[in-house]
Amino acid sequence: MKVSKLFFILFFIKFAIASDIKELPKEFLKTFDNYVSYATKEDIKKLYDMELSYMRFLHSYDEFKELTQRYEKPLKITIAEVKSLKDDEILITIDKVIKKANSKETESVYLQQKWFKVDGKYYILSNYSILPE
Amino acid sequence: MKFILILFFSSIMLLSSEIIKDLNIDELKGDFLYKVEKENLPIGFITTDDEVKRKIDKDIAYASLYLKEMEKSEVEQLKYVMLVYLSRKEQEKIVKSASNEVTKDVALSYYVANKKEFYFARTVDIVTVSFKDKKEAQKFKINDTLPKNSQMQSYNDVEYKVMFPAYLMHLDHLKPNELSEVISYRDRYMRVYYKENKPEGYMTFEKAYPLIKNILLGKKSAKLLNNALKKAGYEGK
Repeated sequence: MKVSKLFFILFFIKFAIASDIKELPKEFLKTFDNYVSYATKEDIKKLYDMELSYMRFLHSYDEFKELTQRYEKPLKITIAEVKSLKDDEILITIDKVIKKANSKETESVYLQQKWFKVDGKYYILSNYSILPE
Repeated sequence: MKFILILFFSSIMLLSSEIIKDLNIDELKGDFLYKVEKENLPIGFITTDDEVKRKIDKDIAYASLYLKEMEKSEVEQLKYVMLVYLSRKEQEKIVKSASNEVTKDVALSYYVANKKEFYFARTVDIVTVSFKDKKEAQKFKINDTLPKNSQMQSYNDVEYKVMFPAYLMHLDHLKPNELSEVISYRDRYMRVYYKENKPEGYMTFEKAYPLIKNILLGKKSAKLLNNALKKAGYEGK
């Protein structure tokens, strides 16, 4: 009885998350697909263009390149969870599959991402605080 | 800001005293201030001459105080002052060149991503009328001419959530322009009401634009100045 209850809860959670993802606006999903494509190809120039323009004003392309190269190149990125969904702000958790260091195996890394809709287009807000001052 | 100051302070140790040790301190100080006034240096996004002067004076006073506490010599105080002066000049150049880059598109992205910064709470104008005589307090209606020995006080743009002082807290049920019952307070009698004022909301982007421009230029100049100082070898610890 307990196992079936747990199974039901897990199924419900999965269903709830999936329906959240379905609620994401189409334009956002299209932008996110582009993001995944650029990230897996490591097209840093295109990724930089997806940054909020004020962040591009504050941080140069070289800084962004440094930031991006600090992370392992992703093999696959999917949306794991929608944390919050507002008119012009989307907070999601992404599942980033990367190659394990010194191994052929892969692992999932879960990261939060914030996206904002400015003038009809979605832009990502990266965290530059990991770069040295 | 703290980081910049640390950079400044640590840089003092790095500057060679050979450069200015033989110079007359008072003469240099005078020359420095003269330069500031003559060149009419706008600093950062401070625009008037007075503001420029005040800003420099503040930096000098701060540096002097700090260095006095550290028991540094006048030569070292001056070194710091010169460094501030040169750095500010550099900062100004940077800000000037970046100013045009803060377009409306750039500012709008900041506005959307940091909207909380532009929120303002609901505010009201609150009016208290106090009377010496209880009967007069009971008779009083809004817009009545005030009788002798009565006092009216108005507090404008008070945040709604904090509008009533502790002794009037029980009046938070009042509606706009609804007069309270008579409240006995010390040796007087009071009536209180408030006017509907500004509802809560967000500053419009048009109003926020010049503020955002300053915020972004401030961030940019501080960052670029740090980099410039780092490049010059004034690494903070």
